[in-house]
Amino acid sequence: MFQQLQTEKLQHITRRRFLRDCPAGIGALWMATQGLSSGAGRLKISHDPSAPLAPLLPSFAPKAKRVIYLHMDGAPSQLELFDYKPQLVRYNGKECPKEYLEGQRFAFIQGVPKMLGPQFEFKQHGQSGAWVSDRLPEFSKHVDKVCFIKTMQTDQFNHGPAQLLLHTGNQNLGYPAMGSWLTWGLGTDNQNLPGFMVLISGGRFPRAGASLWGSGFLPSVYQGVQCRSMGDPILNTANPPGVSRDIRRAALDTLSKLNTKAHEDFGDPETITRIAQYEMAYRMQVSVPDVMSIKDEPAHIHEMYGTQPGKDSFANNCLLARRLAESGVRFIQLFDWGWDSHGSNAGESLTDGFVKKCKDIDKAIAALLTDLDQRGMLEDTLVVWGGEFGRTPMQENRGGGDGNKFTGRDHNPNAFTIWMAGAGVKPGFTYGETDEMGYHVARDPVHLRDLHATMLNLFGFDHQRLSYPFQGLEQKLTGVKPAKVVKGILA
Amino acid sequence: MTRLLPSHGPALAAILPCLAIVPARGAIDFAHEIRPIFNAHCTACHGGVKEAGDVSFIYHDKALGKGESGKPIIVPGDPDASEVMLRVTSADPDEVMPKPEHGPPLAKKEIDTLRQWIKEGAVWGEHWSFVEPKASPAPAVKDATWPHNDIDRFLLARMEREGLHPSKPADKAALLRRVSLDLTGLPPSLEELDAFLKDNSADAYDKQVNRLLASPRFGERWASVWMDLARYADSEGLGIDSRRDVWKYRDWVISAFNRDLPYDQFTVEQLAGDLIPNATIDQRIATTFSRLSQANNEGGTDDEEFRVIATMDRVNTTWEVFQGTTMGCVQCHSHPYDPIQHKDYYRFLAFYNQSVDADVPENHPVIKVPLDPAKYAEAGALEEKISSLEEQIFQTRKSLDSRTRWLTPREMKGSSEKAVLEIVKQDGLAEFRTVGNVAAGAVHTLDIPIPGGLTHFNALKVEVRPVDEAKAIHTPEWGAMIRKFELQVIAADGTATPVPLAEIVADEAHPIFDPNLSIKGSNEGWGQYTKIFKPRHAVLVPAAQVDLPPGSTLRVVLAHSTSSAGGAYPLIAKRGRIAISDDTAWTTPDNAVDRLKADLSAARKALKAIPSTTTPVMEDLPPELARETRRFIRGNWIDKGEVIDKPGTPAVFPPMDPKAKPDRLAMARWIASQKNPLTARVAVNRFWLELFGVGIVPTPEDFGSAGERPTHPELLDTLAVRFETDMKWSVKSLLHELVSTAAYQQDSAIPTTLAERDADNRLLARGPRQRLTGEMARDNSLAVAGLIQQRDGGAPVNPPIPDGVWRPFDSGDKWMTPEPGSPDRYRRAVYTYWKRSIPYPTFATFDAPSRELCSKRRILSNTPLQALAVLNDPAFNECAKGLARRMKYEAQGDVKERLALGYRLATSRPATPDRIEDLNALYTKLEKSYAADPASMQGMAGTPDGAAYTVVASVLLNLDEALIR
Repeated sequence: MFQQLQTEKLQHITRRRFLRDCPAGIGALWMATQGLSSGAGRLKISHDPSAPLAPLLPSFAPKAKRVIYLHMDGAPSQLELFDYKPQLVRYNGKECPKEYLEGQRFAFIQGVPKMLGPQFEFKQHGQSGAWVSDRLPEFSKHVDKVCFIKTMQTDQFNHGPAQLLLHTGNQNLGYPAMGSWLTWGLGTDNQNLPGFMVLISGGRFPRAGASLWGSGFLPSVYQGVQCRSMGDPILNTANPPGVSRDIRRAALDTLSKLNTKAHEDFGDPETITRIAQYEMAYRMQVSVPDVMSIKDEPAHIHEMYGTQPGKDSFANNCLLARRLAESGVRFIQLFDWGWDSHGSNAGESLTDGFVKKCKDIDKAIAALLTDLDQRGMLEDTLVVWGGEFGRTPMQENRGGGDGNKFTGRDHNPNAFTIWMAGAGVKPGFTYGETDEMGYHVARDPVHLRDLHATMLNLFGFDHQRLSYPFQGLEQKLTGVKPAKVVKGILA
Repeated sequence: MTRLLPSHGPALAAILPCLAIVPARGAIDFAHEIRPIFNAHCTACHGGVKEAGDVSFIYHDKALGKGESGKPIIVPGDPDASEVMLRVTSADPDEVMPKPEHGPPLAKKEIDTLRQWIKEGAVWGEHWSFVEPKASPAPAVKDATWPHNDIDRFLLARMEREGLHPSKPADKAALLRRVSLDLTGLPPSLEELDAFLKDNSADAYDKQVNRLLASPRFGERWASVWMDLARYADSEGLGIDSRRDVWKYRDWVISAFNRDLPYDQFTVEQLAGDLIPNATIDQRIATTFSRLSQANNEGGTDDEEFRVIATMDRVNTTWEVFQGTTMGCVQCHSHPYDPIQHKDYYRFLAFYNQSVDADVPENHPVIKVPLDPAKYAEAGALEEKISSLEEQIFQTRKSLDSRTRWLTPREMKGSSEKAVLEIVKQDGLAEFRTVGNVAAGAVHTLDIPIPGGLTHFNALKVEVRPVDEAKAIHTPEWGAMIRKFELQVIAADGTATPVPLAEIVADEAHPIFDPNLSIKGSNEGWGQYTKIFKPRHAVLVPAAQVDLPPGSTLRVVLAHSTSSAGGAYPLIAKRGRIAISDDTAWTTPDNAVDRLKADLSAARKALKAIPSTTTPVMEDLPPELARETRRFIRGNWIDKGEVIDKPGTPAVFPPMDPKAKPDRLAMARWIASQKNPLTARVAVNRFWLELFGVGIVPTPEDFGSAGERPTHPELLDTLAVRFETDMKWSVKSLLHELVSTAAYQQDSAIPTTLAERDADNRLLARGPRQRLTGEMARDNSLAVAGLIQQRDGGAPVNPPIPDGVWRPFDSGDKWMTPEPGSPDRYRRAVYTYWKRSIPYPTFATFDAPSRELCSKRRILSNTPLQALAVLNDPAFNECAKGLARRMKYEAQGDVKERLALGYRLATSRPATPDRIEDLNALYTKLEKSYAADPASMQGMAGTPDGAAYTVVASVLLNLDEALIR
């Protein structure tokens, strides 16, 4: 009893300090120095230091509460999946028109390449009549839940920088990921789990590695926590051999007692925070393996997703994503490696590796959309699918010559397709149009920073105001160039 | 008046109520009082980035100018005639500044200050940190007994002004723990603690400080700090993040701190050690500093793009590390708050733009560094000799080349495999060019009529030119790589006679690959690897003079490399010429050159015999190969602006030595000069920050006008001046003085009142209490467990890492953990292999940056992942077992005494009886539980007491007191 009172008193002091630090503190001060009035300036985001992930309210009513972001690492070909270009069929095998090459930089294409027609059959699906190729038969049944953006644009055409730009708004390392911005701005609903979790499939990590879920200049408690398919689902959640849960509890009770004494001696508020973090760690040790185990899901769910417990697969990660979403995780980031269809070898070709990758994701994504929908979660869960850039309508001819040994396409930052589903986006809708070859945007371009602005908007934030002062600049996810909310896709 | 200080973090607000610092002064000081008003209200539109209406308040001349409206903005001495006063006081919403939608109007006090300043003559002044620091005498203090030295007097004067009182001195054990961890990164051993506790002499503490400063562990601790700034990693970053051998630089940093290399030399050697006359191998290793920028060897990346990115990173890092100034924003536009112009960035970039390195996977240029530092002098002398011999041979050949009468044919026939050639006449001479696509491995065949009626020839020159020479000088094209040169004489009847080649002479002294490899055939021979900036040539020397019978022609075959740069870009000559000469000097044996060659070969052999590693270094291009530097419009390297004719430093700072050649060395000396207003301040602040937890300037990353102002400006300046003069830039002297202060030696307990007044301890009315860094967390546990292995330097090591973490993109990069008991398993954190894309989990969890870029400050967090790491990570678990063994076997007496030993090992403090009771209760419970169920100890210990000690040891390693210093 005494101990509890003591702890409450200590927490009170900690919180008092925090409260004094925040509301009229640096926010107002900084804005004053920036010449911004408080109406239009930086949002005041302040956290209780002993519970930095506790939920906060956004600026205005949000449509989305959580994100499941499906990143197809390597950049899938929009021309083989969603962006149907009959003209490209006619041009197949012909030399690329000069105007397509002037002023362009390519990763691998040399000189004058040949055009490459779509490799698969396309059909219209659903009420909305969205075009999808025959590579995604299951997903095709769900097009009326989905909003396609055909005109995504990026500034980067190499994987590493392009992935960073997509996930952090900057092609350089050291900037916070979308998930970090959102958990910093909103906290998370489940205090027994991290707010930003990362799931990886396909056998390899994305090139830019952990920087894609790093917290940059934001406090490190907002970085993404990578879940693992081997070993503990989150690093160090398993006790060492010989330490049962009861023994750990007994040890933590003693630790907490001794740390409370240390606080009595030194009065350091960080000690109180530390005691709280050890308790959260203890809770995570139970809740993480629990939420990360798909063993006990019913058979029909496994059937629907195509999941096999214990396997390292995209399907498993889709099911895990649903479980994490259900458990109140704010940002669930999936990476699936193997979409870089250059045609430099069979695995990286449109005719072989790409076909396999499509099979890997088709059923699982359809299941995820169905499952979320059936549980009423699609209303406030935003699902996003896409790569880091698109692919060229020209066939790649690495090292010069006519074409690679296998059929493939080079990187195209000028136009690519992503789709979104759920919370606040128009279902059964297609936004934007590319030119007749699918190479450039014909109308309604959407830059990555517009995507970021739109996502923040769905979460109840003005992208101009969710900012953090660092290195003399009001840093934003959308960067320094103007970004716009794509109102056309909002439901 | 209300003083608005720019802030970078939540820290300032906490103390603001007690920071109402207004030293009364007569005249208004621009930098202190006016610049903050401009930055707060004006510079967003009228600053360095935007100059709306052609008005900027960043630059003096602009502020005194007229802008687009033609009305004088500021008229010194006459506020009423100054447009700025009319605008800030206007009631008209169309006139008032700032515009209502941009922000609130100026407060009355701000307007009054502005008016008064103009009235007093609008005297302009630079930002405080851009002006040379001056020492001040220590202020008078009421309590004359507390201060140990002048630093304390500055601190106490401020405390007295704020009504604060210093805390009592820390107890000796706590103090020795603090100073040991701060100076060496390791806790004191029990023997060290006991010796200090027993020593009652007046200089007992000073003896400990001197012992710690002299310890070889000192350099390891401070190297960890420096490596964040230097963005040190053992991998190259970006696309593939392959391993890169740079660890000799890490050892250089450790050694530099240990031998107390003065900070000015430390600076010059890292920035320009290669340019110091008669540079030693050590000074060249120091320049690896600049080569720690990232490389991108992902397929399909443009080597020039990433060369440029690395060059910009060097500029930014130099400014961030040594000048505490953010330069990244000036890449694209003039600085938003400080008077640093866009062009200044590119003038500074010009210092770095002549570096030989160009993002090639070989990391060229690298030097060989003996594994054994005792051999440095020998290897250094050999490298010097090799370089000088190569230079002499090259100069002999260059001079022969320039004396040679070369004849270039006016006609030529050409064809190619995997390319299409056309022959054009340029300046009346025949030239081949490719048309359309080229592919790797292209073979050009050129048939040349004999020019000038030569009857024999003794040398043939192959010249390769960029297609667009004017552009290539600043934005190069892909180069050519010749796999094999072949020459044939084609007689009138068509018979071809091969011409044996003796030598390929390149147009540079130190080419990356041996050009002679292109005689036999090699994908790495003569060429431009991988980019071509200027016309380049090679001279092909036949084994003997070659007769050219009447009617014969010459055939030159250029077979290109079959591998492409980055697996994507074929390296093919797209434009070139051939010339021949009958100058017999080329084929006449030259004894002098032969002797040089023999010496060269001997020196290379001797160097090869020394067991070595390599490290990439800085080296500048020779003048004839120099690149042109241009301004990048909006920071885009493809979009080049005007030529930067001469490297230079920003005009706002004191100039470089006008007599010195403006190169990287002059720039380094400018930074390391006492005249530089920032260098010493930034350095002193950084060392201060490490010891006290918060800098005198709380934003060590930004000393510009957007950063925070120092809490103790006179102290900072006085220390900076003393660091340069009295201390002669000695880091050990500086640290000695800092840890000798009464302020440092205070008790770190935080009275509630102080927690409220000064949460971040900026005024130092109590001792610092900091969490261990990631490196210390590991080292401390290893030391407490008795496992740590101390060895100096060497290749990076692979301590235990949790399963599944090591999944590198480059699958050849293996993590090989030594077996339990092997020394390399227990080395200090500073020696752990540091891969940028896969940070070692403990370090990352404890807030270490991944070191892709310069990291100026670690923001400490307190997370559940840290708790999980120390509780469950296999490396920490091994430490718990080690500490358990020490409790079980090293102590005498009963369980309580053993627990007391463990507690003291972990925290350096004696355990209070109630704590021993708590631990004993846990121990007893655990021992019973393990004894009752022996199977539950599996994988942990063989006996119930061992198992119980292991769990208790883990509690001890996780104590708050064990995780702080």
